[in-house]
Amino acid sequence: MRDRGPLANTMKRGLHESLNTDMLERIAREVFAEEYDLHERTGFPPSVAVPGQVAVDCIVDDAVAQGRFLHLAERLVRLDNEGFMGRAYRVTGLREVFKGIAAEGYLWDEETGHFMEDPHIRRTPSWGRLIPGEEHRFSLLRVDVVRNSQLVRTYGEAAARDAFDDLRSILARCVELRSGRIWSWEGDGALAAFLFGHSTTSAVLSGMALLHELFLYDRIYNSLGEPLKVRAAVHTGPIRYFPEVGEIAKQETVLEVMEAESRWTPPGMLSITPAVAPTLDRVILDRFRPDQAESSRLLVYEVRLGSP
Amino acid sequence: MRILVYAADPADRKLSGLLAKALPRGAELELLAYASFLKTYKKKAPGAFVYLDAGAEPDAGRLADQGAKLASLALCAWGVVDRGGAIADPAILFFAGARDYIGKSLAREGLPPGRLGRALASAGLAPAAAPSPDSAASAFPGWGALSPGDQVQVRFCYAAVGNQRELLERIGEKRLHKLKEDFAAFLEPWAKECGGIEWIRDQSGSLLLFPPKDEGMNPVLAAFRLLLDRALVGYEVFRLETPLSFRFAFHSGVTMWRPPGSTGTVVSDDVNFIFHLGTKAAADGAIVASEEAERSVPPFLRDLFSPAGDFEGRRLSASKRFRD
Repeated sequence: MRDRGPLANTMKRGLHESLNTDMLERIAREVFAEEYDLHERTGFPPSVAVPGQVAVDCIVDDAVAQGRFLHLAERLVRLDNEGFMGRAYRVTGLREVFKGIAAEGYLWDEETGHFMEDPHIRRTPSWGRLIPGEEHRFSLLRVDVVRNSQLVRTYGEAAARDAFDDLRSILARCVELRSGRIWSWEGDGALAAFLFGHSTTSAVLSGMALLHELFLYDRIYNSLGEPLKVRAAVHTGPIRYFPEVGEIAKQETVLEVMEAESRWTPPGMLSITPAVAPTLDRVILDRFRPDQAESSRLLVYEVRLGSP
Repeated sequence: MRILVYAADPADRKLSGLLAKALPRGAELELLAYASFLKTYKKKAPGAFVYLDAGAEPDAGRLADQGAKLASLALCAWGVVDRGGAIADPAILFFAGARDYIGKSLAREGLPPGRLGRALASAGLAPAAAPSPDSAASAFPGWGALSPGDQVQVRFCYAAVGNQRELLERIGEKRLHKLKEDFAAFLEPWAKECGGIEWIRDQSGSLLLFPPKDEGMNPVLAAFRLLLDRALVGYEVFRLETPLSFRFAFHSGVTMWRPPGSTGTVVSDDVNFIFHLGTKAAADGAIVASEEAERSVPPFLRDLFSPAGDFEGRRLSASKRFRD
């Protein structure tokens, strides 16, 4: 748990000046759970009103303890901007809270309404905000090197490792540029996750960008005697987040994307599953076509050259 | 054209002297401390040919790792200077993508003229041929150093949004006009990455100027990358819900210099030609190059170009298109 003492105190001061206990409890229910009970948390009997300062202390301390401090701050920003049930609320001290959160290495993302890790400071698999065990709808990009063992046998371990390292750098660039995170890298394959904004679109665009970069990499830098080909697939579905990759890897959505990649995606292509296709804008979706074998319901994309 | 050296000692005169004697015309040499590699390479290395000094890192494996980092993250070519002969098997470096190796005996004897030029040419950063007629103009002084009225050897690039007729039907005149403005604004920093400038805008596109030799990313490669990424650029940069493409025309020649915004009195056959080439002969989704500009196409892209007939007395070549 991150020590947020001074920052938590700043938020407590602002909340105490801005919101009554009733409003505080409404906000807390949104941030924690519908069952959040301020009386139960503070020990006050139901017949006695919880004093404002006690309510504020309890909610902010719970937010810090449960890793939901950023979530609480984001809800307060929304309350300050949009009000609640038609009524305007001004939350004082938000500017100081913003400054404190920024000092911890987070940036406010206007598009998603979330505080996101400043990528220049750190890029963690949890985006610095996911709570272990909590379920979210993620979009996944699975990438695997085609015939990786044969590449090692043919060109030697050092050359193959260098090529895989290059692939990793290229993939990281494509994924992190679109706010994704590489969850696992096994030396010759990877699993990248996307959660915020239009996560399926970000995953698909990252996969397309990867194929483009590899097209140029093969021409300019590839020191193997053949193109570095990958299979890539994008799928979306619910995943319970855990810091241990092993816990994530056995979940249904991950198994599905791995099957889409390994079983149905032709070499050198990016595929998208039927869960992904309807979420894409037409201009991107039109770049995909049914797999020629038509043995799956996947749509595929590849870099194709035509005539001059 | 820049040669950057990550040296054990950035003030090492013997090392700078060794390389300076074989420096191709117009090339610049810069030495930085190897210890500053991680802090500086992303900013300094793109577009340069980078030498790593084995005197600072004698382990071939680690040098190869640094080189691979340069190639993949800074998209630049690299080599190793090993004056002390610390690396037993230089092939390890080449397996990792090195483009040059200057070993102990070569360093002792001194580099023959043209040695670095050949390394740069092998990486597509300099023409492979012997000095060309325009090589006298290759010592490009920089845009800021030009005076109005100077005759200057440059590479021209006419760049425009492709499929404009189709776009007009799909998004309407107002949005197309805005898109063309946005594209022109996008081209300004894009050209800068290649050492160029946006010079003249017309109703359809922009005329960009680049130094006669690469100073930064090769502009044909940059244009090719833009064509490859057209779907991503259209969607992520210009927020278009309709397919976007581009057209590029390259030519090399001479023009009278006037700064951007004061080009009304420019008289130049080559400027006329590039406007004609860009507006009449360039094709959507492709790069067309005049015979004078063919040398600007990097070796690793040349197989994607083929003859495209003659235009106003000049031979043309055109790139393949990517299929949608």
